[in-house]
Amino acid sequence: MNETVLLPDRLAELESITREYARFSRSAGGLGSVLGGLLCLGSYAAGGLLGPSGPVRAALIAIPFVWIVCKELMRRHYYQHLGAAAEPETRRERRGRVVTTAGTALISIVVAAGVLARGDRVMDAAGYLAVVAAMPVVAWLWLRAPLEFVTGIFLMCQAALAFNGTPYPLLSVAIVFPFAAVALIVAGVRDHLRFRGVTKRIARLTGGSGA
Amino acid sequence: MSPGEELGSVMQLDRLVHEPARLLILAMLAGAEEVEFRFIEKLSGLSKGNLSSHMSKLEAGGLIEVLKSFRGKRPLTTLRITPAGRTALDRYRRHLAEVVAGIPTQSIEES
Repeated sequence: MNETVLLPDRLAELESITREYARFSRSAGGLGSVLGGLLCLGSYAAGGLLGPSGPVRAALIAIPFVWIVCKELMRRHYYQHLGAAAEPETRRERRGRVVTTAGTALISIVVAAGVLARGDRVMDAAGYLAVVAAMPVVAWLWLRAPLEFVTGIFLMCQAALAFNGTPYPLLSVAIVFPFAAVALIVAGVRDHLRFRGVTKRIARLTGGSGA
Repeated sequence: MSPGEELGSVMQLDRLVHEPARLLILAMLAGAEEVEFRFIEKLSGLSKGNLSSHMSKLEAGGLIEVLKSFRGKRPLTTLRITPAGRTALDRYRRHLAEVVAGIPTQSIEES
């Protein structure tokens, strides 16, 4: 091992590389975010323009789950390919995540109670209720960055509505979500470029063997 | 700083942290909540045995925690720096910076 690696600035470089790499365990999504943004735009447009035909409904229901699987696979096998490094979560971030998840859970309970109070048969609304019930769990486990949360919740809501055959129309309250999707795409591209920078720094550090 | 004071200052460096491989491990752990053994192995270039040995010393000194689990059927070792480890690393860094600052530029160029 080269002893010069251990001068204070080299130590700071090692710590900084680990910190940057660890961001991709939680707050940075890279191409997973780009995919999420594109799927959000696709889901919004398909729901509003194509109407609730069988294939469209099936696609709208599948989209959030396909996205989550794809982004987590990308995270594990691409962005954390050298081994997992978990990003520290500050108390403020943790509190924020608890509050947003609790809010989501509360809304899920109110919506589910509303459906049941309306007298709908549980079996008829089973798909809708299952997606609504899954929302807080999915948010807590896989929608850990703010833009991911906003986009993911839209995709889940769209999936739940697709079960009922009434996805969001183009001109509705959901019009804000395409803007969040674009922001997520921009953030994803920016993060991906940062990751390319991290892999270059790791390659320099390890003489090309690590990255 | 007189040569005697310089020597005294160098001798006061925390030896558990000062060893290059252990310092490297601590520096990496300081950048994350917890890190998989494989990541440190790849970035440090240390062999598995060497890394395990230093890991055990740091764990015995209370500077890191070692968490053993399984991912499927494969054993998974994860390392985490403790608050004491973070403090020791910060103290070491400051101390080393002071020592380096005390060395005349000429002697660095000669070496």
